[in-house]
Amino acid sequence: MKNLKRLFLDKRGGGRLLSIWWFLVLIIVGVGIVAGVLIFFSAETDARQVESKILYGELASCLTSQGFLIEEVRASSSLDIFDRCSIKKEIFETSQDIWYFEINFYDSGENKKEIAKTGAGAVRDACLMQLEEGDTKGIEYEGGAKCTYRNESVLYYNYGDDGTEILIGVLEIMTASNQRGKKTTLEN
Amino acid sequence: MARQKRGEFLFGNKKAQTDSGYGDLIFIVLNLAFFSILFLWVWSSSNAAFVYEEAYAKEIALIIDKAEPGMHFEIDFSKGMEKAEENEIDKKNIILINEAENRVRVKLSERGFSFRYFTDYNVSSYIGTENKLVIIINEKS
Repeated sequence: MKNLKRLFLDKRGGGRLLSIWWFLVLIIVGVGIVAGVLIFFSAETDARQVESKILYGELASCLTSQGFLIEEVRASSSLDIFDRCSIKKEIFETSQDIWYFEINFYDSGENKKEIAKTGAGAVRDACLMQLEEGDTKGIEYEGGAKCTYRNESVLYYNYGDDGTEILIGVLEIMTASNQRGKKTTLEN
Repeated sequence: MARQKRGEFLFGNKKAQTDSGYGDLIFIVLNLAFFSILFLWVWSSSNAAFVYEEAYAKEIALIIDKAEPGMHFEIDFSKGMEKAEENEIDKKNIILINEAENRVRVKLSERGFSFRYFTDYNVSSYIGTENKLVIIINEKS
């Protein structure tokens, strides 16, 4: 009891803790924690880089088979990339600022064939600008899109007068995603 | 007039403190109250439904993007169900996959979060046993 009394009634130093400085410390700690939590939870769970890599993977895997370029890609001038890769054309046409992709093929003579290109030109330009600066892994442009760019060596058949030969070409794919998602309302 | 020592103004003249000794008690109670409120606020923020809505919507959309026809996925949706029950959201409205717009919407609170996918498949989903969310991917007929 005596100890308890000393604990609560010992006046030495008690007043010092209730000073203006202690309240200042509490305010700083409180504001710091609140600001930290608000910043943390307002930051989006960013899936743009993952999405651009998935898009790249889908395109690369549907245009090649066991290291060979699909024959239609070279032979056909009207290849429907959306149908071939099971990608919905309508949403790429209506949401040009969300996704972007571009596919080119360079044969062994480095002749370029444009296979497909869709999405906003601004995204492409920004990705190319970043590419020139040498960052080919996680490219981010001012608008916020994240790009994936890869060159893959692929084999292809060349049907000439002397018969069929296997040559090496390069498949160049650039993809970008700028999708952040959105909060919905009661109605939608 | 007695000369005031430096620092007494800010840190207080000990002689002038309360005689009752309840100052320390009030100090402890105020501190406990302050840190309890702060802790509860941080706890409730970290468990807010919108965090799960966004995470689940993006996870489901990316799974659909990466999937091949014929696949089916099971995702542990227990935390989502917990939040939906807390907010009294009808089970059939929790996950909506809009194939026309290629949009996944997850609704665990009054609002919701939607995220789009780009693949062109038939996608269906349901919440199965043990709060597993089942996603089935099929070729478009």
